[in-house]
Amino acid sequence: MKKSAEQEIRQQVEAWDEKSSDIGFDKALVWQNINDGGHSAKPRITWQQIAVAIIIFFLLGGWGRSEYRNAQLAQSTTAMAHQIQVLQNNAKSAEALPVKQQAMAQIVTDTIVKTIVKQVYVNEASEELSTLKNEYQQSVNALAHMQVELSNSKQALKQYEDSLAALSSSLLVYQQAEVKQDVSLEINEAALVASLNPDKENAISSSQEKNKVKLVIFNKSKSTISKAPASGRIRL
Amino acid sequence: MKKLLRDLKKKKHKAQHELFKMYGDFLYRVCYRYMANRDDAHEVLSKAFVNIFEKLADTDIETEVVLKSWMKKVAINQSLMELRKRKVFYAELELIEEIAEDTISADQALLEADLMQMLFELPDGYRTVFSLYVIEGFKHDEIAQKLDISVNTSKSQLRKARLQLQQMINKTEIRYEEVRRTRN
Repeated sequence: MKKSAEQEIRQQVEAWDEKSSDIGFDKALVWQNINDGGHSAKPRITWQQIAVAIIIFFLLGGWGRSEYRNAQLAQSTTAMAHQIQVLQNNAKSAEALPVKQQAMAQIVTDTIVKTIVKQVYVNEASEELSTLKNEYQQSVNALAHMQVELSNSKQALKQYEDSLAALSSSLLVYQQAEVKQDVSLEINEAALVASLNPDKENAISSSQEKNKVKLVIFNKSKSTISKAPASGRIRL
Repeated sequence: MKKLLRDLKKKKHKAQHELFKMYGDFLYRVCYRYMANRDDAHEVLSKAFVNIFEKLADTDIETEVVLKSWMKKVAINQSLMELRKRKVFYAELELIEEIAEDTISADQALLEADLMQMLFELPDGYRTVFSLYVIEGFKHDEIAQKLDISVNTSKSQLRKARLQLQQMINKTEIRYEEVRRTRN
């Protein structure tokens, strides 16, 4: 049958508290601590602790040295990074320089090209202008010439009309005379038509010169021939 | 004793040394029960004695019994202060059922050495609450206040301490039985 053990535990613990058997109590140490203020137990330095301290000292030295080296490396790394940055900037500037130079050259080239083009343009324009002027002058001259020719043609036409009127009146006269005097009239009609056509005035060749408008009046007693040349050269 | 008390209140060094020689061992054991460590017990005991020497003049203690009880409280409080610094008590969200608390039971008497060994094997939090509740006789609300923990945490720690101690007692009883059989 189980019984509560807590009361027994309590009694045994209280009895244990009253015992004086040694459980590692260092009275001298505690009393020393109390006299020192009771803040902490005074350390008893053993050779193991000294060895540990020496090891820790060396480790700390090594650690400090490595920290110092690390700091130096970090510093040099920073400096190198700065130099790399500077070099990168320089490289970027160098990369950008040809472009700028090219752009400048392009601008210069453009300017030169524009200048050349402008000069060429002026020369060509001058030539073209002079050519146009010449052509214009030629056209003006041709126009004046044509006006002169037109005036001449008008005058010739007027003469033809006058000649035709004269011929018509002569024809009437001769017809009347023929009725009375048995006069016959021979007219080269082709020549007459040709002479009446001012456009074909120039087309009348010298061979046609022979085909002048010829008015032949026959009389039984004698014959009389009257000729009227084309273009004012009508002769009776 | 009255002369000793009078000299102690006058903070005479000789009287203090006398008191230390008289109760040093006892208070060391008290501290050791809570700290479960020789060096820690030394340190806590040193501080406890400094407090005792400082504050004794402010008390109206006149008898040895009262003095001893008061010094034990000072030592326990100093131990608890150290344990609080180490934060050995963990607040637990475990729901503590309000049932009759099981106590540790045993079929036979346990040897003192085994019992103390079991106590020292308990985790700091379990051992502290168990000692305060079972041995010193504090209630859970008092323990909670002393250790700056919740009442539930105090109950939880006590319950776990009891479970663990019960398991250890059972094993010890089995060992006792085996020894008895071997002898027979």
